[in-house]
Amino acid sequence: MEVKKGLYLKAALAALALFIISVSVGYYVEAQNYSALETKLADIEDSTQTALLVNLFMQTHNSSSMCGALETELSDVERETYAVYTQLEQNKGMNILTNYDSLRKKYFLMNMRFYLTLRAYKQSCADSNLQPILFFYNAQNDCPECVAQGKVLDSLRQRCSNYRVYAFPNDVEQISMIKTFKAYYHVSSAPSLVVNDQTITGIQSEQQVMARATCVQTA
Amino acid sequence: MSLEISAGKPRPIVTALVVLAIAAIIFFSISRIGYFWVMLAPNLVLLLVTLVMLFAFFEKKPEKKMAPKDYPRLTVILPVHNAQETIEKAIEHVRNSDYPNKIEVIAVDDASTDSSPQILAKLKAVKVLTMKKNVGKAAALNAGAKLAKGEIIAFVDADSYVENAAFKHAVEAILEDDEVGAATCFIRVVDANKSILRKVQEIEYYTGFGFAALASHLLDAIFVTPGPTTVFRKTAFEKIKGFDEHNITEDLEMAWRLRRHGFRIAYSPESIVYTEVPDTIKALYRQRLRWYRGKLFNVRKYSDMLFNKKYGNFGLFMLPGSFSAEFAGIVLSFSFVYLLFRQAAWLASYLASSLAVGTLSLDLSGFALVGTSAIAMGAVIVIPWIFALYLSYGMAGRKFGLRQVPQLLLFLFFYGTVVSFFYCASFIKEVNRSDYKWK
Repeated sequence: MEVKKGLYLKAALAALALFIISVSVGYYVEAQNYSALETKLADIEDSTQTALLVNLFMQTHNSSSMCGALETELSDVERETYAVYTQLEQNKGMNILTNYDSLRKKYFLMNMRFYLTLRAYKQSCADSNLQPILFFYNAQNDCPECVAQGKVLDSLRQRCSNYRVYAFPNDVEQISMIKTFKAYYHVSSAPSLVVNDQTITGIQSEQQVMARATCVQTA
Repeated sequence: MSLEISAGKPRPIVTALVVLAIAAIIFFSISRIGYFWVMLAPNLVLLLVTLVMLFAFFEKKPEKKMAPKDYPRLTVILPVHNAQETIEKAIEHVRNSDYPNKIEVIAVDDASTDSSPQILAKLKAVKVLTMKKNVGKAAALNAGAKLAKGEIIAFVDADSYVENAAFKHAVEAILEDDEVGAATCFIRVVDANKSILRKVQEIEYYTGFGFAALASHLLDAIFVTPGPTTVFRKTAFEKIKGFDEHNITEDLEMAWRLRRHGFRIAYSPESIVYTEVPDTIKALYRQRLRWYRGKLFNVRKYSDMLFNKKYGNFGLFMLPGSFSAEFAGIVLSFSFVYLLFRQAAWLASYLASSLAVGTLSLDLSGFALVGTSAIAMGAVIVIPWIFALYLSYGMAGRKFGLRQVPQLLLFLFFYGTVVSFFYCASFIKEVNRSDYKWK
């Protein structure tokens, strides 16, 4: 009985080649996604810097003349950052070959800076009705409630034009600033929300959130 | 008759421990290295097996010898057990064969309780052997073979319909080489448009009994002598003492035993046989439980042939390939079932939370398991399999085009999922040594 060694060798080489091609294709697809997100983050970074500078200018000159322009800038940036958050978190676990950790870390740090800028803006522009909401969710452990809470916040962002949502992972220990945030707001589990400096643990309905923060209905 | 494929008492504790251990390994692997890599590893094994077959398929095919001047006498044996719906048609197809010599037809009534005996009684030129009690298919076939006068014996299931030239080509394949003990046929699904389940099984039969069978033949490593129809050289059949009457997949076991005794098995793609297939999930479950358990059992029984040079490509590739495919199948099916349950639990929890707060979004992006890169990688890996499917359709004289896409998607996702559950069930039952009765 003839043993077809050559045939097995050819098949093994073909399997290896196909595997390499498939990994290359996968890597290419992920690299494209990564690059697109990186570009978006760089754009947001520029906008955040601008907002920071405008805010600093107003605080330095004790002026509120640029409140309107800053609010518009902050709103635009929030829309973009929220979109990036959605992409980063929805795709978590689906990136097989590329490590998104550094990109996520960069995003969260920028989001914190952005949140703090908004808080500073509210002090400079007293008549602002913007409502920052902090949302802590589980990024590494399965948390269907967090996803459901995210959907509630998505809906609220559509419904209330003054709501600004900043999402942070509850279970990522590598970013020390998140730990600081969590300690400050006494967040220990997910989902948790911080509305008007009050921490609420467990999933909240739209009505429950609106009861704590004035909602300016979207026209 | 009860055909036990594993002796001994059921062992629920051992089974529970085995299942728990597998679940723990899969859970640990998925959480540590990700489900994609856990699923990819067995798929690579299957890819290698497919590629070996593809290369074999394109090897230079041996030239066919001239048709023999004289065709030996043929005996066709049909086991009948409650086959009132199909037996008459099956025998009619046998009679319509254009075999160039006499055909002796023996129907073995294995204690049917329906109107099969009456149907058989009124058929002319059919010898009917009646078993007093239900002895099982293998024993019925052996009993029929003892009466056979032909030098060639064909076993045809009572729900299978041979095409006119099937026996002629199969016998030619046997006569090509004295070492050939049996010839297998191209089994296809009859009335494939009758139900969706048949439609998807059609794909499986085209690949398994078309492309894979021809590739295995070219490797001289045919793996099974299919129950619906296989033709045997009587001397070979007698030398190995017929079918194993205590094996629930006697057709699989027969092929391996023929190999062990030094016989080759040929394949005749021109020998076309249509067979009935299950129309319900329940019937499919019963059939697959028998197939998969039988395979698991026989892999253990014939483990000495594994990597054994003496058996050529059969020992070095087909058996290890099958064993690896079994293992890959178990890992894949358990992983798949685990993921299905995990995602179902996730979805239930998500829906409960959403309904509790009154905001339900149907955008289930968080529910998705695979991203674009995984889909792209998977698409590359399945190219050889799709190509094999294309070749199978070609062998069946069918075009493989866009019209087959829904059927293919059903096969991959619906049928694949269902069969995964069956595979898990078979494995668990085999470990538990659950009794198996083949009615």
